[in-house]
This record gives sequence, structure tokens and C-alpha cells, in this order.
Amino acid sequence: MFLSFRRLFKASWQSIIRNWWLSLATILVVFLSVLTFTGIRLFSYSVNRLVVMLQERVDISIYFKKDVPESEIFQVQMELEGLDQIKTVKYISQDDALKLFQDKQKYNPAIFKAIEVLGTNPLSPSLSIKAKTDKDYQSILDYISQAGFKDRLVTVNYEENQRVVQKLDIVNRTINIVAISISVLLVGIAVLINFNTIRLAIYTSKEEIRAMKLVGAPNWFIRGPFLFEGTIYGVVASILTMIVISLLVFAISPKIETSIPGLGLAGYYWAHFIWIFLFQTVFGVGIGLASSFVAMKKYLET
Amino acid sequence: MTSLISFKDISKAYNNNLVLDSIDFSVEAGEFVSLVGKSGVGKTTLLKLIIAEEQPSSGKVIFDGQEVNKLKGSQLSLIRRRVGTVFQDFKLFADRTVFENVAFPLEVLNQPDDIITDHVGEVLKLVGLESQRDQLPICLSAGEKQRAAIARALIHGPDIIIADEPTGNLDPINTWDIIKLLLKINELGTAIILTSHNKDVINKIGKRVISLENGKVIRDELNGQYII
Repeated sequence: MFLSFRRLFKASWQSIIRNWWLSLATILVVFLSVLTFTGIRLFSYSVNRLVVMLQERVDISIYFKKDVPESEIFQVQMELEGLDQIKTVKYISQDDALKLFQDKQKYNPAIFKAIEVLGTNPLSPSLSIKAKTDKDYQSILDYISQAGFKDRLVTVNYEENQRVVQKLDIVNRTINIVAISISVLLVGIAVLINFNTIRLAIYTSKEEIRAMKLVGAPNWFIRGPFLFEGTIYGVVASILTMIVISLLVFAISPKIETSIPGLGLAGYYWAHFIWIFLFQTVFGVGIGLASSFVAMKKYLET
Repeated sequence: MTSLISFKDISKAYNNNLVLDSIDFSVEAGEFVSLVGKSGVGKTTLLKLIIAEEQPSSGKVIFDGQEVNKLKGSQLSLIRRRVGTVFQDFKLFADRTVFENVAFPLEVLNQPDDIITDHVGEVLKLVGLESQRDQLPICLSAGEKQRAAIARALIHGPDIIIADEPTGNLDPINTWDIIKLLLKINELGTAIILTSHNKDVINKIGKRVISLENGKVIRDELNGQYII
């Protein structure tokens, strides 16, 4: 058994080395397939993460009249925290609101000056409410509109947020549909090119396969080296892909993080390095093996 | 006594074109048989029937008591391992050296490396290719390629070698060298079926000659001649 295994491996290795040009072309095609596969996976992660980050920024802010005492606002906060749909309720006092506003407007000296001229804090205390899911915002709004503390409010700031949420939802769904369609298309094209390249490589050996059959070699003995070759192509292509993607992540990730803080592409990649490698190796080896298996079938029939 | 190979009432048609018509003859162990006839008369088809590369339209091919055209998979592989096949176009494995080509049937039989090395060395000596053992087929002359193909057909000690126009691509000197080699192998006990157009060669061999015409056996003579 070991002897046969060693010979099959040796035969496939010799074939790769002696037909190095064809082997190189095949590895390149498998590499492009695997690169497409993993590239789409990482792109999909980035888009989903971006959408989640934007969704996390959405909230409902309810602003209280200035004369409402803090104790009453805390009661409302407790009441809201008791609702199933609500994830967090954060109290922002008048002073906190002013600090936040000043922070945001620090590069706008005119507004900064205007507040100084007023001499008082014009901002209202508020509660910032985050729902558990996007769909919960509407029911929270409905609750607030019928709540007993409704009269103590100056305004409920959600409409703008609602538009953002709705747009995000549409963008998220569209991106997912487009990403899935492009993934299926690109991976499909890559698999087809890959299949044809391996089929061509096997076609060049069809006379040899026939001669092997006629000297009484069993099918597994003939198939073995080709399947080994398919496996080697998949593993080499996967290693090449990891090298290229690691370099890309290393080079691009700091720039992306500057533009979109918190995206965490590099963190995700390194944390899942082994899984990504295994997954894409299984993909690469899988298409190599399947292509070899199907392409050889008709030459083994006699 | 059972014949090594028997063709029993074999007919073969391709698209209603009858190539072989009620062929009946047997080949005994250790025999040398030349199959002669014009191109398209069915010589190659007869050889292909022995290794089940083709199936007869009717009739039976019996190899050592087993009906070849009913065998499948591993049983067929076992029969093929008892036959050495030599083709006009050699069919050597292009990316393997002469040694590796000749060793292939022994690898199929899962023989250990030391036995393969010894045995291939002996057979390469027999066919006169010891010095070319590490060459790829592309580096060999046509005569050398055919010697390598014969060595590969011979290496696993088959009961019979079927040689389909083995001299068809060779010059007269190489042709006669190959025929002498086949005669030598036959003297060592292996049956040979040779197809050829070459009247001079067949007449010099002086063994059994089976002549085909219009898909039928028209002559079957020991010490026969190729008569056109």
C-alpha cells in the first residue's frame, strides 16, 4: 500500500516537474480561482462590518423640556429599559450635551463664539435609545408617542435617523444580493476555467492513459497521479493566495482603518488565518480533484 | 488442451460495414503467428479484440478459457497483464525515461524496487537499450523507441505479445532487428501475434501465416508465405 502510494506521489511530482510550463499555468489558474474566492469573502466581511457599524450609530433621541428634573428623566429611563425591544438607554445631561456639541464644533469658531455670547446652555437633556434590531425602532416610537411622559418632551429626533436606517437596510440588502451574484459568477467562471485547464492537461496525456489501460493498470492506478497533481495544485495555489492576501492586508489595512475606524479587517484576517487557509485549501483542492476526476472519466472507459 | 487464444465465429461491423466475417482460429502457447492482409482488412481489429479494446458484433474471444468480451474492470485488467502490446506508433509515456516506461507494468503489479531495477536492467540488455535507460523517448530514434516498447511489453513475462505493425515506421535495417528480437523472445517461450504488410519480412520469418481478405481468413498455413 505504502509502495503504491509512494509511486503515485512520485509519478505525479515527476509529471509536474517535467511538464513545468503546463503545471505553472494550471497553478496560476487555480490560484486566481482561490484568490477570487477568498477576496470575495474578505470584501463581504468588510461590507457587513461597515453596515453593522453604521447601524450601531443609529438611535432615537428624546429631548426633555429644560424644567424636567433629573429624577423624572431617570424614571423614564428605567421605564424604557424595561421594554424588550430596547438594548440601551443613555442619559445625556445638559452639561454633557454642551460638551459633546463643543467637541463636534471645535473647528467652527463662529458657532463656538455664538454659544459664549448666549451665556446660557441652550441644549436640552435627552435620552439616547438604541434598539435591539432595526425593526424595533418603529415600535419604540409608537410606545413613546402614547407614553405618559410624552408631554414632558420637547422633541423626538428619529425621522432623520429613520431615513438613514431605511437607506442602510436597502443598501445592505442590495450589497448582499450583488455580492452573492458576483461571487457566484466569479467563482463559477474560475471553476470553469480551472476545469478546462486541467481537462487540457489530461487531454495531452490521453494516449498515455490508453496505453496504461492496455498494459492492465487498474483505474485507481492511472487516476492516482492526476488526482495527486490536482491536490498539489490546490495546496500550492492556496499557499500563494495566503502570501498575496497577507501582504495586501498588511499594506492596505492601516489606510482603510484611517478612513473607516473600527472596521478591523486586519484583526479579522489574522484571527481567522488558519480557518481561511483551510477553507480555501479545501476549495482549491476540491476543484482540482473534481476537475481531474471528471476530465479523466471518458479516457478510462475502454 | 486449451488454446491460449481462440476466435470463435467472430464478426465485427462498424456502421453496418462488416470488417470481420465469421473468423475462426486459435493460437497456442509459445506459437509465432503472422497476420497478413491489405490495409483495412481487420488485422488491428482482431488484435484489439484480444485485449477487449473493441467488442465483437458476434462470436467469442477466449483467452486461456475465459471469454474476454464478457470481462469487466479488474478481471479485464488481469487478462491485459498477461498480454504485452506493441504499437506501430510506440505509445511510450513521453514524460518518463526508458527505464520508467519499461518499469511501468511491474509497478502496476506492485513489485518491489530492487526486483524492478534488476529485471528492467536484464530486459534493456536483451533489447540493447542499456545505455539509453535514462533518456526520455523524445531523445530516441524510431528503432530505439520500438525496442523500448517491446521491452515494456515483455517486462512482466506475458503469455503473449501482440505487435501491431511494429515495423511500420522503421527503415529496413531496424525492421529486421525488431523482427529478430521478436523471434528471440518467441524462442524464450512467449507467443507472438504479429501484423505486417511487409511481404519480405513475413516470408523470411517462416512461421505460421494467417491471411485475411474481405474480413475472412483465406489461408492459414504453418511455415506459410505472404501471397498477394
